[in-house]
Amino acid sequence: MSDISQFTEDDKEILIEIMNMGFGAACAELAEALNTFITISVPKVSMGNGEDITEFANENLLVNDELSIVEQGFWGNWNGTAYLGIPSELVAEMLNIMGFDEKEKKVGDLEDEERTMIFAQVSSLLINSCINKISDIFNEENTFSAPHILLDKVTEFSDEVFDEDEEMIMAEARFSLNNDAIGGSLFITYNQDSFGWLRSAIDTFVEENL
Amino acid sequence: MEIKKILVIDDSAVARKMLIRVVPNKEEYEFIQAGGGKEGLELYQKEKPDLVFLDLTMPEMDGFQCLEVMMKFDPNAKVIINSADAQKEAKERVLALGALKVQDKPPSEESMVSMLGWLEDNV
Repeated sequence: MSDISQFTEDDKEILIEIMNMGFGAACAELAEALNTFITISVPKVSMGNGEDITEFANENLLVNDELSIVEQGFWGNWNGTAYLGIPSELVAEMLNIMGFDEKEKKVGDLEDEERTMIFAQVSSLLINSCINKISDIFNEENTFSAPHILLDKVTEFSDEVFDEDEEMIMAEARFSLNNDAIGGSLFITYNQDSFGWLRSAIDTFVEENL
Repeated sequence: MEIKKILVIDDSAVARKMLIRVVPNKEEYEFIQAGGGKEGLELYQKEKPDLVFLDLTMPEMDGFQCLEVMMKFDPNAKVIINSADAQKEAKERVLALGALKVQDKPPSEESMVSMLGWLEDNV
């Protein structure tokens, strides 16, 4: 079954808690890398078509300034995409920990090679860690595509990102550091072609944990 | 310490169920549940539980704030943190605030048995 109607509000609560566990583990890795404390938001989950998901993503995208949105696909029994909204200030923090001196650099000022390296670093810390933790909970394994910059210097997701005819489930969580001065958002999707697997995975989770 | 009444504070009903499920011999305990920090504090004052399991990431009043207020109200409160926030600094903060131990989510039967055994022997 690939219909979103098979998922209930209880299923949504389970996916929120699973996202909470995955994101908590991922932020611990980022906090260690940055040697700072990260404040973590309570995750949210939305289910709907591309239009619904675009609206949900934009409502929850943490925007203080222009940001870049990194996209990374993953596949296995669970197919989906992760989107990471990264503000310029966080890139500067990453530059700092990676040994660059130019802490004031903005996203748009960086060379392509630098940008790719920074986003790959942030991505490996947050996206891979979060997905891997969630996959562990579901007893699954995923393969990842290389992360790339999907949107640059934007303040929202454009209408073209999500296919309006496809249903999907999206989980989001936000993080902030330096007393909430800098923050970002992580979104992950469960694609429609994984709904059959997800139904079964949630049922197994309930049986084993609730 | 003798444990009879346990208060579980977590905004997620799923997380509360997961935690209670792994408590051994659960019929020996009375469980009280709160869906947030403020409700948890109210129930703590009203019910005076022997043990509290407290989540950290919650809306409105988070676990750090809840713990701080609870320890001021009752410096002898016995609080175990049950959280997905695995940051070292988060653990250090709650221990400094007075929590006895930190348990990572999801809790397992083994970790819960070990935790309760430690409480019996050391608190």
